[in-house]
Amino acid sequence: MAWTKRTLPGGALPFGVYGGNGRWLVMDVNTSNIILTDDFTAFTTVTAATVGASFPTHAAKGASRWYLLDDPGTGGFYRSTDGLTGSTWERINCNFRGGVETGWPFDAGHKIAVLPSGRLVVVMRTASDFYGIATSDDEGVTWTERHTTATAWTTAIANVPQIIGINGKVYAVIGGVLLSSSDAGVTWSTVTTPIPVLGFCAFPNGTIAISGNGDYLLRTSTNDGTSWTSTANDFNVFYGGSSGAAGYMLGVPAAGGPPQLFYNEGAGWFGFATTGVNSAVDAVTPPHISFAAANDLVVFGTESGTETGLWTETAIVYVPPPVIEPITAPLRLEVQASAALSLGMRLQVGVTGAALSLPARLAVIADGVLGGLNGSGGWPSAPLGRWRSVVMLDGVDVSAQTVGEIVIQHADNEARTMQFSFRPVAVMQPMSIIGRRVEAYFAQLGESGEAVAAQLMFKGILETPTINMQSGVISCSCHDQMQEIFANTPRAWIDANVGGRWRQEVSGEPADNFDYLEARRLSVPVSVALDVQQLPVVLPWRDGLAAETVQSADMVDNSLSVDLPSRDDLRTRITCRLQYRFERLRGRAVVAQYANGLQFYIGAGAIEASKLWLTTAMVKQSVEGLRGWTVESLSINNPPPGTYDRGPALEDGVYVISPSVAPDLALGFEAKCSTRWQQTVTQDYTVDVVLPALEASIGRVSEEIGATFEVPFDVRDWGTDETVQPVLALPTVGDVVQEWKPTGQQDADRDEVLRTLLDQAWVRLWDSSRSGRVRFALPLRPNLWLDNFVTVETASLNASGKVVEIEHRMDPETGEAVTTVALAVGLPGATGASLPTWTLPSTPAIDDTRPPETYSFEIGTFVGGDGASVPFDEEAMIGFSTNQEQPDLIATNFYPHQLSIRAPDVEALDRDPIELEAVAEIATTIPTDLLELL
Amino acid sequence: MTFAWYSDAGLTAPLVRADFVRGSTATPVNRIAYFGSTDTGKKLENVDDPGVDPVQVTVVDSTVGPGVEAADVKLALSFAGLDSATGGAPLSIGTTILSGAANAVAVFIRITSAITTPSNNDDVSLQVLDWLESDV
Repeated sequence: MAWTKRTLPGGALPFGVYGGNGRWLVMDVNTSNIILTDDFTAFTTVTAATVGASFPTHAAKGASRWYLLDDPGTGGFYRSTDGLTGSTWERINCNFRGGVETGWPFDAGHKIAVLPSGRLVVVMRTASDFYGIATSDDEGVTWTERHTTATAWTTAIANVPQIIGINGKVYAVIGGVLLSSSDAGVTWSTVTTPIPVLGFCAFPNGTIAISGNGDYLLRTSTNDGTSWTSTANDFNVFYGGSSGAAGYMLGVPAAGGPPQLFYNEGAGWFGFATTGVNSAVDAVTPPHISFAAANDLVVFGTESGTETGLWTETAIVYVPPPVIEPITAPLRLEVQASAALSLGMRLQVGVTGAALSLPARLAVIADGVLGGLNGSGGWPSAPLGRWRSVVMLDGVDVSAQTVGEIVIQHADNEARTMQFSFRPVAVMQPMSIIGRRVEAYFAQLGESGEAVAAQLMFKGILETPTINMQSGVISCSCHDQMQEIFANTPRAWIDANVGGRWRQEVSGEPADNFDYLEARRLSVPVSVALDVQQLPVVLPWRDGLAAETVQSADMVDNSLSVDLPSRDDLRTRITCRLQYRFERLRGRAVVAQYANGLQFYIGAGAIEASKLWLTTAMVKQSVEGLRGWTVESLSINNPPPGTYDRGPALEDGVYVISPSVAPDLALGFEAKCSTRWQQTVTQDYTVDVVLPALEASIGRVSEEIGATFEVPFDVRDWGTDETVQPVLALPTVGDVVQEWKPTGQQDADRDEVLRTLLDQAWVRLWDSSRSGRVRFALPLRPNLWLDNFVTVETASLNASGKVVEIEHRMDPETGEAVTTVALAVGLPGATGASLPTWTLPSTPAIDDTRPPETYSFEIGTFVGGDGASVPFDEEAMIGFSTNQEQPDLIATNFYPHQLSIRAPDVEALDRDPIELEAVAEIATTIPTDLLELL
Repeated sequence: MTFAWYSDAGLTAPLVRADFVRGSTATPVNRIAYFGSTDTGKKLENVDDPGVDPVQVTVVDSTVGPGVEAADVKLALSFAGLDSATGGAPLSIGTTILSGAANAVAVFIRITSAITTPSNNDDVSLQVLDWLESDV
């Protein structure tokens, strides 16, 4: 390929070239004439005056005429009246925006295009008030505003507008923004581009390409701007054009020189050689380059530079891809069932069998047998004194083999036990005895010796058998598995039924749920036991129990006795101690500052000597060596290089700081430093729960319970690595304090621990008062149990209390069957009281106010080599020590040239553990019982 | 077979008979029995459609007429549920019962018999029928 230079008539300088396909129009910037040609060999010149314009600048070739825009001056829109000959023209008074623009004041930077439909599209920038795109369907008489840019665009080279219609679309470039219209210029949308657009073209395959000023990339997009790919080159590409056969980009080498024309049909960029065409085109601010591309020719020209003129080159011939006729072959896809619709199956072989049966027995006993103790002296359980025991071992009645007494014991918070002996009818192997199920009943003796109205008294297991090898009698110790059953009872049941409070900090981690039950029970006035059916039962100490009254006639003679509460058992005061210990995460930010004026170092003539400089290296070494402190930032103030007079007189001399030395010297510095540490805080609560009346009566009998609630903080590297969480938000200067109290270990939890202790204290006070016992014996009452609250009414004693111990003793050989009962009685008074709602002592506060000197660094200035310099004291002279560069003759003390910094210490008050005490005393009352000696 | 009846929630004390004792005044009597297995890795399901059909506790009266009637026995999964339970109605205790004390089913039982004559009435029982025990 080769460019052909065309000689324009009259030495015309091509400002613009328009047209194509055998008819072209060239603008001459030299004369403002227009030159028309068919083949760039024969030309027709038409003067601007003939057109009627002052400076025609842009034109467009329509199907049957030319259209032309004038530049500033008269401005205006013109069209040829002799078809594409272009020898005669007319000016059109344009009807635009509701008025007629008789002299349409086109400003610089406009373009016009003719769409295949004949519609005119103008990118215009009027001198008045419109910036945007307008169209005309009547060859320029009436114009419709289609798109308005937000602001005016400048006429700089980077903003040269373009308008191109290709591939059924219209593209416009305005102020670096690429717009596109798919409806022939009626509506426009912005195409996303990675850079402001300078050059633009489109390819026949629909690809669009852009260039940016100084970008040195050719960027293409095959999806209307959704994504872009780039091809690097050494050309600053300014102009683009599309012919329908190819897209073109015209660029100038980065270093200046001849322009290069690139074309692309969709298969990559290729260049037309333009070497020697014009070697002096500036890469950044090129002169106007006229450029046009059509299906027959590509034309460009330059109006200035080492070589002006117009060149043509044959355009790329667009060869559409071959059309391949489809070969039609009917296809049929027949879908048949292939894969099975699978249902996996499993035969699970388990165990099955007969019904899992639980027999039930409803034992109906005459009410009289279960009747109350009414003072009648009767024996409802054995009205005629005829009774018998029934002992079942693993479901087998061994009553006939029992020997001696059968003793069954119950007590609050203890397992029900039973001791009995029997002589088996046959030899029993050990494992047929140990762990066997045992039941014992008390029954009336029927006429035939059968058991009537039998009442279950014990159900449990045989724990320890002892065999008398001489007699063959096996003595059995049995229990009801209380501890084992409670150990297996879910905590949820315990929480719901026992109530109270429980904290691990108070009770420790329980070994099992029985331990947990025992710990929780300490904070609530209840006891626990298993009923005769081995069901867990919670037994309140006072309310909700079955009331019974026992009178003298009900008792076995002379069996009534009273043990009053002993002073040794009583407590008048319980001291609750709680130490709540947590860490305060502390941080401190400080600023170390030091500065001297320039004169300090350079001196002042004979008045002041110059000194050895503080150096940048000294500052860095000292600051970075601050032990225990993290340097957040360091700013060093270096002296400005220059030549400084040391005084007004010539003999004072000058002091020179060269640019190479200045960065090594320091007038001063500012270092922002921080440090982090932990401080342990202990809130020490001492709360006495007191029974004032009792203490006044018997004196102080106290006991202490307590807990330590520690909140550990063991985050590795916290304090040395400021990025380790929790990160403290340090101020510029000052302290920040953050208490480490994670969830579950916060103040509310501390209060709950304290309330747990207080509840336990109150329960302990009441429990200690219940050490009194009223004991008596009755003809055996199998249904009397720990859920009875018994009032004793005798001539010598009125007392009431909960049954806390029962022993049933049956001796079939002697016929004796007795129940011994112990009631817990407390302090006399028969008054009620409830567990208090505690008002907790207020939390001790910490005084965090500190004087400002806490944040001060010590950095002094000390000069040696002066006659007045004192001896150097390393301990006292902390800071910058230096010497006069020209010491006094009498000087005897010279200092080390160094910088030392003393960081502020964290005072003991801020560093040492803090103990905060809170002391309170709470007076309370507890329930009292009926206890009257008559 | 590892599933059985127990006296306590921890499945510590096997229950061979649920005893209800009251006086001759006809008042309802309640108690709890626990059904479960102390083994590990076992499950109990309905043998007819394991995991789908529920396992049921039914009330069986061996001697219709005298003694306690099936209709006198109410079953529920909570104490409050006894009030609205229908006498003699079976109780569904789940489609799959896993072994372990934590999975034991508490069955609340109430006998509302009108019997006033002192006697031992052993004619009713609770039964889990159609069960299949297998590994989990």
